[in-house]
Amino acid sequence: MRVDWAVVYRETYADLVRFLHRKVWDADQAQDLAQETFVRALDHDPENPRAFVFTIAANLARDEARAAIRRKKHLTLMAGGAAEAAGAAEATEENERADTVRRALDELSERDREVLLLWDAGFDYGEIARQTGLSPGAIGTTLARARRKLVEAYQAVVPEAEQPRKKQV
Amino acid sequence: MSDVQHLDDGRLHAYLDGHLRDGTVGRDYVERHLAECAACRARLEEERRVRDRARAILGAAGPVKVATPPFEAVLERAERKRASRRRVPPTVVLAWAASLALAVTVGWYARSLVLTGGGTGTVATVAQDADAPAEDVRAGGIEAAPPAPRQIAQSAPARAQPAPAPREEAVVVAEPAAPAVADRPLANLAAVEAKAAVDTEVPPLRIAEAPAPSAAAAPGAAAERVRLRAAPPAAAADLAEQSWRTVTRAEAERRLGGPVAMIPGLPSLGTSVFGTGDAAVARTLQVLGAGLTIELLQQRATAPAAMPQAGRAMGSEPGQSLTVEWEGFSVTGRALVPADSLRRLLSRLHRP
Repeated sequence: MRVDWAVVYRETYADLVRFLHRKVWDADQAQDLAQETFVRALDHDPENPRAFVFTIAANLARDEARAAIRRKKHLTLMAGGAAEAAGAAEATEENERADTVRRALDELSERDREVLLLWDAGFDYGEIARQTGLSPGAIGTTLARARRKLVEAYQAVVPEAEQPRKKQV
Repeated sequence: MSDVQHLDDGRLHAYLDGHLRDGTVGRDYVERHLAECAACRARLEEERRVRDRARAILGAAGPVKVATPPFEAVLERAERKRASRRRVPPTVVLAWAASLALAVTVGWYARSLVLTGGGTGTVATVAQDADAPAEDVRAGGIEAAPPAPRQIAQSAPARAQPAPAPREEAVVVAEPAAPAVADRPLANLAAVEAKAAVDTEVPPLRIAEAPAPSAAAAPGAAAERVRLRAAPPAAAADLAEQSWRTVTRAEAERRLGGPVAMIPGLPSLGTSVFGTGDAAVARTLQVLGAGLTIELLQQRATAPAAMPQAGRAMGSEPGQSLTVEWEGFSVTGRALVPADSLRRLLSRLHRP
């Protein structure tokens, strides 16, 4: 049976971008990676296209994250680079909120974060289990831990982020 | 009810997420327990708050609303990728060109060792053969002069001129028969000769040895030779294109027959071009940051042989280099940045 990628694309794209955005934290790049994901998926005929697409996306995001770390090191070397300045100008309130969530998510272990993001992207327990290699019975426990940790980490981060704004008001 | 029987967090979350379906043992068990156990009911509400809070936090991270581009965008992108994959990687082509250039260079030097004694003798014979009317002498003179062009023609591949043309040139020059010369536009010879004057220091010596007694009797021919060498009028435009010239972007696009590769958002220091048409190579410098530039070398993907010309120009530049396919050109970027930064920069080449 051939996969109808056009249908999978329509049904999955938004979730995929959301998933990727929580990994690369850049809306444009998330969309770019989502497109690239489907470009790579086209030639394949997997049993579970949705899971397949998310696997590719996770790999692309991981490669991109590694590259970003190296880039960051490089940018630090070129002190005052143009990219840094542009980034500062774009720091809108929305970005600030996303950044807070990002820092909270960084507190989670990689496995917990992955399970949480898959759940956030609309996966059910069975799909999450297949995707991560965890046993289906462990997903509830992992999610319980990940959610609690996220909430705690977020509370811990928010005061830092909000206080300066409150003082200004 | 003993503590051992209480519901754990995992089961509560699975229940909240609806993973324990109606009628399954798991769901019945949880519901029976919740009906009896106030402590677990309280924990269920607590976990529900955690779950909803986590959902809200993640939801706050954006992007708010994502429009799904048409699926055709993916297909187009896949097609572009396929097209670029079908091509021979430019590095392979360059390696080929480099090997060829090396082989020809070594061959030429070996040959010049062998011919040091006999080379000029041949020329003298050719000139003596032309012992009749003045026009013939002139033709002979022009033809006799070319040990230099021949040398250029032979050594040119070493500088990675497209190989076949110079070879043809060499054959014609070596043939003493006049008709071949007549077929050939004089400007061609003149261009090669003049190029020699520009590009190498060897030719004048060889040419000086050429005049035979009969050639000396026709000073007009000699003068003609000198004139051709000094200012080849027909070839002037060609010559201007056979060296690196800084040109306007419009001129560069005319010479390339396509858009000039640039990374949007970076200040440009200008574009210079070598050659024209399919063999044209453009070199654009753009500023990355304080004291840091990226060099973009661009040529038709179908004409890889000219790249070493450019390679010579960029030989002294330090840093990484990377070649990508772009709009039917192969574009080599070079900058003192990590390879993945370079790759990312090159992925941002504007789409005209």
